[in-house]
Amino acid sequence: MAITEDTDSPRLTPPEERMPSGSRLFRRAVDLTDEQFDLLASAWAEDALTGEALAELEAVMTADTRRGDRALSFRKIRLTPGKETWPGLTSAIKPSPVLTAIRRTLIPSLLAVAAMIVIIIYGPAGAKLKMVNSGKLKADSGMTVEEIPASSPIIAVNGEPVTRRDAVAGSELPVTRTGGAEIPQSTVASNMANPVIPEVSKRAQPLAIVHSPAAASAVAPVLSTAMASVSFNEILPSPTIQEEKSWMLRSVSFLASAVTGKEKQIDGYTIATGCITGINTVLGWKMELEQVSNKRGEPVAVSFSSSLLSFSRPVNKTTP
Amino acid sequence: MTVKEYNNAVREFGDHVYRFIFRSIKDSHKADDIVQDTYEKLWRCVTEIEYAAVKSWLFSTAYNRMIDVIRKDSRLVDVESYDDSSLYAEENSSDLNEVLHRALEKLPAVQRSVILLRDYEGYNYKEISEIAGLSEAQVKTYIFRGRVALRNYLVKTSVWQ
Repeated sequence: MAITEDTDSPRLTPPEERMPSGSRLFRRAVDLTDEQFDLLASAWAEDALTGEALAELEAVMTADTRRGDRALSFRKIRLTPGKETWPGLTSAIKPSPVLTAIRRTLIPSLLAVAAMIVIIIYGPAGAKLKMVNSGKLKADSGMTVEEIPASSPIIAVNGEPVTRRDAVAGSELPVTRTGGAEIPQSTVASNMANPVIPEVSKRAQPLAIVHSPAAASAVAPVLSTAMASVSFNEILPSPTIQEEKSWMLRSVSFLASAVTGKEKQIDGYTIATGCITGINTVLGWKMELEQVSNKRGEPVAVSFSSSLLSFSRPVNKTTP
Repeated sequence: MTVKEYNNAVREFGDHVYRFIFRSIKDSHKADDIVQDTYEKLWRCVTEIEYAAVKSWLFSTAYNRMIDVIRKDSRLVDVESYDDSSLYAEENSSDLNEVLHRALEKLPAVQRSVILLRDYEGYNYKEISEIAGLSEAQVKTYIFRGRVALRNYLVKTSVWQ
């Protein structure tokens, strides 16, 4: 080592010594270990090698077929996606603001309509409807003998008084039509100004006398005493039965009678199911109306269910 | 990004992101939750993200969420007994793709993810590095080492001689 002559800023000059075994440190591409070769081959299979690196590796692959095959095997290591689908995909899709607004108004409205249909059909109006629409008054409806109030009138047929039990046991009374209302053929005595005909189906058969002035006058004294305790307020028929029939059911009834030529009994459950099925079909909803029956197969309740509203309602026995 | 574009992103990339996460963690419920969270996050900042960048954003967000879940799980599990003998049990399946997916499960989570992004989605190293928050050199190393590990698995399980 020599010191330069510049004394103001002396510098060291490197000597000429050389490493004696330096030449042994040189490596060729074939000297790569398998692990090193694998890493390079992996990069080569990814097309990530360029220039000299690529040339060296290809030289090794050409020189050694075993390593050539080994490198080629990396090309086969590729994963292919399966057929898994994201289960939450549909729920993540957001509806447009317009569609949201429509849904928010339309869904509750239609649900309310569906619920109203069920309530109308299975409500009081629907229950009374059967009476009005049935062709005959049914003897099995109404009170039993034991339930007949003590003040019930004595019944006379063809001018002869009959016992209370006889009257109740009578099965069906023939009816006639007067101005749209159904009235038994045998009418109440003329001195009974306000007949109680429509309620007959709910109660034991009331006083029934042949419409004959002579017969009426014959039984008049008996009737007048028997009827004295009857409260007319209690047995008066509802004057608004016709009004309580819903417009929809009236329309259906009218259409049915127009087509068949005779008045048909309305099946409320079928109508309600039809409406709900129609709404489901048009809008793709999943509203359900189910009829629950007892062991004898008689309907005892209906249950309505949807995503927003569900309720169950017992069926009135007189419900159509 | 508009709502329409958001919905397109759901339809177009939803399954891809789910597949990537599901294959990374092998748990369908967790994968579903992660993808749901990712799209919820996207929806919250829907107006700030351009549609052109949404795919990378989705993968990146889902990946980071997945790493959080993996870290949380590893803390809960603590030191799980690792059966080394099962690592190279002999494979009976002849379906290479099936065996490779089983081999993939043996890899560390980061390696697994970068290989999935590369093979499933065809992302380049730069894109993968942006998604995974790694440098390009790291991505390359993980992928090359991952491939070597997969190959070794195939050889040691007698799938490849």
